Amino acid sequence: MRRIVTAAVALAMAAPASAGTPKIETFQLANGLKVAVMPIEGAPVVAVQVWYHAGSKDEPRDRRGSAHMFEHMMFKGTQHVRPEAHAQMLNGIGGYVNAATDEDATHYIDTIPSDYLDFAVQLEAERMRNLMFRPDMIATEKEVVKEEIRQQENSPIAKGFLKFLDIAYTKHPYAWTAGGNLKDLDATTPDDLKKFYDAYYQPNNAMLVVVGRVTPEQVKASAEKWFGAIPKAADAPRPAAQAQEPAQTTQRKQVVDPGQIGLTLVGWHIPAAKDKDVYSLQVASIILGAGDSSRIKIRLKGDKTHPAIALDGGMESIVREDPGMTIALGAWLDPKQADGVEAAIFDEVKKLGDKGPAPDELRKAKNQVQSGFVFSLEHAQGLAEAIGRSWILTGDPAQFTRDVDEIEKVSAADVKRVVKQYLAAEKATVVVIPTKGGK
Amino acid sequence: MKRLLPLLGLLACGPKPAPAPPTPTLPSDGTDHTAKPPPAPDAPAVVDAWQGHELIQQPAAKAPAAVQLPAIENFKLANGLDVFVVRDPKLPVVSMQLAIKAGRMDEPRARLGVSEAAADMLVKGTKKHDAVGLAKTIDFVGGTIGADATFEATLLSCSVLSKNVSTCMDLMPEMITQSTFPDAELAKVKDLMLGTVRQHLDDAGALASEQIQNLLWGNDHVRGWINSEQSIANLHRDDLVAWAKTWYVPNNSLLVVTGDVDAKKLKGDLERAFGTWAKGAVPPAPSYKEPGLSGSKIRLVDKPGQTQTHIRIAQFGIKHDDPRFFDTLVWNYALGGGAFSSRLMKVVRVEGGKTYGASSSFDRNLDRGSWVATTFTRNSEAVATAKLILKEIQKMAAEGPTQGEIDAAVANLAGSWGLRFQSAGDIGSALVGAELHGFGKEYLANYPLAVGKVDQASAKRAAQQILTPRDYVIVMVGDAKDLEPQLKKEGWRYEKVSAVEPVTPVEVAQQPVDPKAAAAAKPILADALAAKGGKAKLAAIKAIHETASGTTAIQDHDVPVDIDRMFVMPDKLRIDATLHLAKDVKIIETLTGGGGWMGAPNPQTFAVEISDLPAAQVASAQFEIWRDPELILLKASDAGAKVVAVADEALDGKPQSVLHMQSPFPGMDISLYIDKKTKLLTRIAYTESGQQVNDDFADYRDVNGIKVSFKRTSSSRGHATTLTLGKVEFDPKVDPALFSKPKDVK
Repeated sequence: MRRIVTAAVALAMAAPASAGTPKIETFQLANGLKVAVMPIEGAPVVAVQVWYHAGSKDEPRDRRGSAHMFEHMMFKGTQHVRPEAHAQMLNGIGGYVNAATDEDATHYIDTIPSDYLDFAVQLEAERMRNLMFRPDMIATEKEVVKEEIRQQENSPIAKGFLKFLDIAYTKHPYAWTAGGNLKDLDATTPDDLKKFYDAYYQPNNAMLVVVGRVTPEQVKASAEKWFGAIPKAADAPRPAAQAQEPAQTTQRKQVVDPGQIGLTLVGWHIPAAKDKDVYSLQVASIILGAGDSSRIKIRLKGDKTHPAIALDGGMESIVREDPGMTIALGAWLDPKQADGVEAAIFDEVKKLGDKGPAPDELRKAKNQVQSGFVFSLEHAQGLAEAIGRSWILTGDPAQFTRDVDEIEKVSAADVKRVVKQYLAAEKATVVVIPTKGGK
Repeated sequence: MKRLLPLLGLLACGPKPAPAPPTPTLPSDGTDHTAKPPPAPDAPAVVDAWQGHELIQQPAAKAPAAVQLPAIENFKLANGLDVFVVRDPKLPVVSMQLAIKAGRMDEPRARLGVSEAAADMLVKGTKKHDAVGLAKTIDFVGGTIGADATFEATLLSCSVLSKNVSTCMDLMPEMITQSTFPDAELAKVKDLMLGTVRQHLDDAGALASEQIQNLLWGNDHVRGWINSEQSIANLHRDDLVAWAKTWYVPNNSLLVVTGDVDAKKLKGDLERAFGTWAKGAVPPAPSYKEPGLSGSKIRLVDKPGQTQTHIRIAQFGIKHDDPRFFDTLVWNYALGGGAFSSRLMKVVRVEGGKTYGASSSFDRNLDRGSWVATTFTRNSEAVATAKLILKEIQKMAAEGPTQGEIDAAVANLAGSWGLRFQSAGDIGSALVGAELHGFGKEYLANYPLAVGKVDQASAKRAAQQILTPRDYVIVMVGDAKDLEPQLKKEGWRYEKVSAVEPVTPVEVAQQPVDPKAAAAAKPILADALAAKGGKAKLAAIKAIHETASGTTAIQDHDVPVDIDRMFVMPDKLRIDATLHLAKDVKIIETLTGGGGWMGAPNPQTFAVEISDLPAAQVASAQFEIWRDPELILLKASDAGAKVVAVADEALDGKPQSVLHMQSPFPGMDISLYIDKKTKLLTRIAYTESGQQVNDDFADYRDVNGIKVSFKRTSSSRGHATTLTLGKVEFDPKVDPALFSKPKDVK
């Protein structure tokens, strides 16, 4: 658990100048395609990714899951590439291919031996605008996506988390995730998908990210060669802009369907990624819930002064383009502990808000961020993800390299203030997944 | 449990953790009922929508070439610890990975989970630091420590910025030589392991992967053993200490240090750090007879309400040092290891739309391991999907991969190999794996060349030898009501088990008793016995008659119940229960020594019918009278009783002394909770049928000088029976006819 939290934190944030961060070069083609390059000398690999600023928050409310469905269609053939051949050809030169859709973005991953940069860029440019829309393939792929959705449907924890978002967001499309649902998927037509493609899969709504053993000149030449001829399109629609989430002023709580493991989720709305307060909130999350020496973990798992009341716990700030959430959780077996877990989480948050962090706690959190960032520099694919994510969240692909400096500026007073301001009990959403049985 | 937090970032598709290697068996009945792939016609020809399109062509893949690795230094410390150093100053980071050659494969069945628990406990307390102290030390420098046990090894790691390397140099030897395995932390580790077992009941994929291993390897091979609530309950501190003492020795381990290290200084630093870690004799690893596999076996794991069926099809795999290993890599890539370049993905997902993922993989271990095909689909397509996979297995076994498939597989497997070595830590991890199998760093460098030697003939030969299309096992985890009609329609014979039953029956060895802990139990028992009424009064009891009223949970409903219970020492018990349902239902259960009888209503007529008590219920009733709350303290005080004091706990905020007592029933030891203030028994905890049960006792009243609990609650997995006693009689007049099996019951 501790490793996961640390890794997540490291990905979400980032960079001390002392770490010798490789430089990121950025440029833009005439059609609006943004390009970011991070050369890493000696790397055996190059990570090529295309990030589209199109996630589940851009979906119509009655077509939830269409961004994700569309991601699948990007592998189903273009004018000049047969279905699945994109992956097969890159596999065939030793590469790894994948894609992922989240609330804010969809990104396509090609991690390949560095000699094949130009080929990967060619394939990505090909599917940016040349996709084939064959009804038979759409129908088959719908069934595939349904199986992906059913995985969540059979998981009490996944269902509970989806319910949590649904309760926490009353208006904003972060109320659902990219997974989608069976009903909307059934209703999605080829025309819906084509509309989504034309609106969002355009050069001026995308960023090509390349990290590894390449030069900016090589990337620029490839990008111009393959993407240059694609015309610029109209700005992509942003339905979420008209769906701002109203401030939450009273606590919301729901007990949902049980699972084998009891889980208490407590979440608070936090500002969007561009707001400087997110740095202080991230530090607060680390102090409260990242690492086995964090406050919530110690409180829930017990120490000399408190008995153990849960299996594990933690806290994470999910920073998004629009206002995201800080979420604490506790996992437990004994149903008698459910109320105690919830109370302990609120108590630890309140204590941090009342008294602020101790100096060594603050230093520890900053050290965790710095160290996590340095380790994140080891792998090209992760770095490409950090660059793409940074662009989506802040508009600046290099912002993540400055996040460590921003974190370093956070003071104890900042932490105290943001906890009081954002993480108050009356602003919380609580979802409890009870256990099917006792301990 | 480790998968809880990533949930917060639920995203669709995307990089996923590698699936756990699957595992596999069923009794064969010849070929009459063997699952046979139908002679399905090939798919009808379809119009090629890309005909006439100018298609983008894949550039030629590079010929397989050796990977250029940095220099790897190797030396031995005085205590025999084998050390490897991969120096890379590009980033200011250092990682240390210690591998001890002992893992799941070395566990005795009666101590299942000991390697995992012992590894987990390495970070939970040393002579210098408690668990929180260790966590604070590593968190403060932003580093990570981790410990885990795999099938073959126990892995301990520490990673920090290079300026903090002394933290790892201090902590690693401290954890390995000074771990204290504190009881309180062990309780938490066991709870986490229990949480994982429980969570798998909600995770049909994980359950299927466990069930297939058990089915393929059986209950007499370590690969077939799966952790259960009961096996975890059987783990004790002494087991962990003995495990660590036996296996955690430097001459059974290797250490890999990677990153920005000062190579000149390192050897001296390591000698100082690990110098106190003493050599020890290493026992041989246990060996098991491989079970045979003849014909097909199918196990249906019933998980009511599950809308998606997880399917595993398995056979035996091959050893890592088998000369056909690289051939198998190649044919398996073509069959199911190569994602969208594989046949399974093409047939089951791309063409069939039946699943999100279909793959196959095999273990890379010193022993033979398993080869497993993995997928999931909507319930209605389960058997059709299994048939598709079986057909592909059969085809690969008969024909082997095509030349095109060989080329694609070699290009990917050889070409991608070097991509994994992006950091010194990556090289270190791969080196640990290679060295554990005795291959050395040349293996890492020359892997692509070995892949490149595979040709169509060798791959086909290996596929034919390893894939045995008639001999396999299948597990399906899903809702039996949806699956059974499909299986029956195909004429496939199968065994059906419940998802909530333990996968492997637990075997328990007698626990050696720690004399100190046994001595600590004695005064607690003496106090409890005195509070109960004294040894003499309890020893004089010959029979107990009790009546009680309350509720019991039936299908999530609390049903009023009246009980009349007569217990005559030593082994006669009769319980008359009346359940107040829409209509009153009377149930009788009688134990007479090694047998018994029961009376229960016919579901149609509601008339009570008499039958012999099933063996399982006889055993359960025997266990009940053995742990009778009026007499258990007396039994615990017997000279031969094996009772030890364990860590104190609190129940509802009240501190309790806890005693662990071995029972004569395998795997059914009990814990006795004694209130520290009143000295009265408040709980008996035990595991029965794989479920943790707590019998709680409150409202003690005096009956003939003996303290008797009048409020009793027995709870298991959220279902409770709560009873308030009405009448309690010691040594009542007993009618012997009470225990005679009647012809009829009024």
